Amino acid sequence: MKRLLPLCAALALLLSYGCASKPAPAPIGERISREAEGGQQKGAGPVEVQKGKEGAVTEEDLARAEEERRRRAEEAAAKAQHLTDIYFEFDSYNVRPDDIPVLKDLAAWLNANQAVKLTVEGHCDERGSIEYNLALGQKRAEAAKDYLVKLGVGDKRIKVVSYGKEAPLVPGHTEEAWAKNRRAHFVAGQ
Amino acid sequence: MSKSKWILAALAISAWIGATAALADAKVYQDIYGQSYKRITIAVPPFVSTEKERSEISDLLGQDLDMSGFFVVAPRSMMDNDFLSEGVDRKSIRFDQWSSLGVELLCKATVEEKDNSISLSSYLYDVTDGSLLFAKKFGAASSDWRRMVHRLADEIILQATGERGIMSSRVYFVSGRRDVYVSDLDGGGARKLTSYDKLIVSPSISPDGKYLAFTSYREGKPCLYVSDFETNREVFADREDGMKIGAMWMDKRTLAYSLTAGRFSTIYSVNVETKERKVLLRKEGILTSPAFSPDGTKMVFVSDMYGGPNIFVKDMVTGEIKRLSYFGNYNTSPAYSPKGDLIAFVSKTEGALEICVMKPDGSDARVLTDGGVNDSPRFSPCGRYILYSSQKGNGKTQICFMLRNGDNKRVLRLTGGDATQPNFMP
Repeated sequence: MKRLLPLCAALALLLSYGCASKPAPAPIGERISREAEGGQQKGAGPVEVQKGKEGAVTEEDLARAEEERRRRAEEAAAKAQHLTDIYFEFDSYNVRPDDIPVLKDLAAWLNANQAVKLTVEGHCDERGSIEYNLALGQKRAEAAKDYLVKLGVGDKRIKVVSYGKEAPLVPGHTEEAWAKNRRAHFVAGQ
Repeated sequence: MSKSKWILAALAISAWIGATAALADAKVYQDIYGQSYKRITIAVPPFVSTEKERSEISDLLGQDLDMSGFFVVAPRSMMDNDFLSEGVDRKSIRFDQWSSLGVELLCKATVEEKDNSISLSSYLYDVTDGSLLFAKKFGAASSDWRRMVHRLADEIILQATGERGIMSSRVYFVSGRRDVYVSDLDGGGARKLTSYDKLIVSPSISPDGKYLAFTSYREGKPCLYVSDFETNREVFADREDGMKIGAMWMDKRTLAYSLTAGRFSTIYSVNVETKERKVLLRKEGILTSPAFSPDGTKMVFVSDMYGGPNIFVKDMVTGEIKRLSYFGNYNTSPAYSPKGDLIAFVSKTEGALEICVMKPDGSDARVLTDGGVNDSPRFSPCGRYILYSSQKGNGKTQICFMLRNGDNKRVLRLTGGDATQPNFMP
């Protein structure tokens, strides 16, 4: 079974090609800097038309750029599919049984893609003190990491960062918002 | 004890706060350590300069005195022209008239402005016997007139209560979660102490004002830094993996903080000059928010060793550890009063996070706030006030202060964004 896992993951990867999956939630650093820029996103199109070379863009260039764009989007989609947040009960850092399949899927994908490095962010809802929540977020991120390590993912590939209650995903002061903010969030990099 | 019981108990113990402080030298009009205290009625008629009325100065003084929680400031509408045309010297004041308005203290002042400087000649009278309590001159650059008024307010508070006021104090805090700011209590003179524009938490300034310790995400992960204000240089940094948080100075050079990484949490003390680091406590799970009794013999901290976060105390001499909080299952953010007679903390009760106080042995806990998310209590250097952050409804997090018995809650208007983790400048 263990030997099958990478195969399954590879299959899943293939299947996910062309699937229209939701874009990956941005990592926290990006989210903050975007907010700081007043919501403006940098227009990073696939082809930046260079000054003085206007008109020199051939059909071929465009096709190549389009191909590149599609390849990246597919990669991002594949990544996103395996990077699903897991959630925690109030003041708890135990992984919920509901989230075990999420972690198994993530571990399988990581095991099949050894070049990928993972950052686990630990987050909390606003009902708590700043300092304790920062420690709690650390524990949540580590609980997720420990589970992935148990499933064979190399210890060194996973970094953890706690954001406590300082970077909530969902604004608002409702039970619904709180539940969504008590989470571990996964960010993949090379 | 169940949650509801402890709240009841807390409310029932309505007025234990400490023994009466007898202050021999000062003319004590009231005492906030007692169960109730009476506010003094003070009149601050418009100050005058040779040319014109300078009511913006007397109005700010009135505002300061009102904010202090010790005074009722007589409204101007009570004073007719007879009152307003009076001089500032004792002979020209009709104390019986002021007394008939219920006024107990009277502050008069003349204003002089020359070049770019301003001075105030102020007089404080006891209306009941017409005695002069003080005559004091204050001077400042014209642009700094507000701080001059705060100093006068603190002098009046000293006369009336036996201890200097806090109106000329400055507070530092995190604004918009991204930088540390300092500001006067009235929002004047606000400026940045850091300019990283990155997530920053737990700022703590050393007792002599030389160092600033904080946890910043400026390197993409939370690291603990200590910088020297004067040289703006980094004197210490902990870049180990894990969450470093809760910086608290034990003395001018020694900083305590907690590290949570892996199975264990550790509370360290570090001499930021020699870099010598010691383990004060290491345990499984979470340890954070160390705070020290004024004599340095006790360390309170937060641990989840019995489930939810609770407050514990470690005797630094014997090493003995005792649990202090037995109410509810969420108690955090402890802070000792400067005299060591109280510990302020945060407790989760009925969904709200409330600022509470208890005696250093954990007894006589009282809830001081009224709903919302309140955090980071810190006593004023005089011990009479508690500074904290408060968020209610859909509002922003604001810095507030109150008297240590929960009376006189005031919101400070400092900067526009969320303001958190306040403390008084040393």
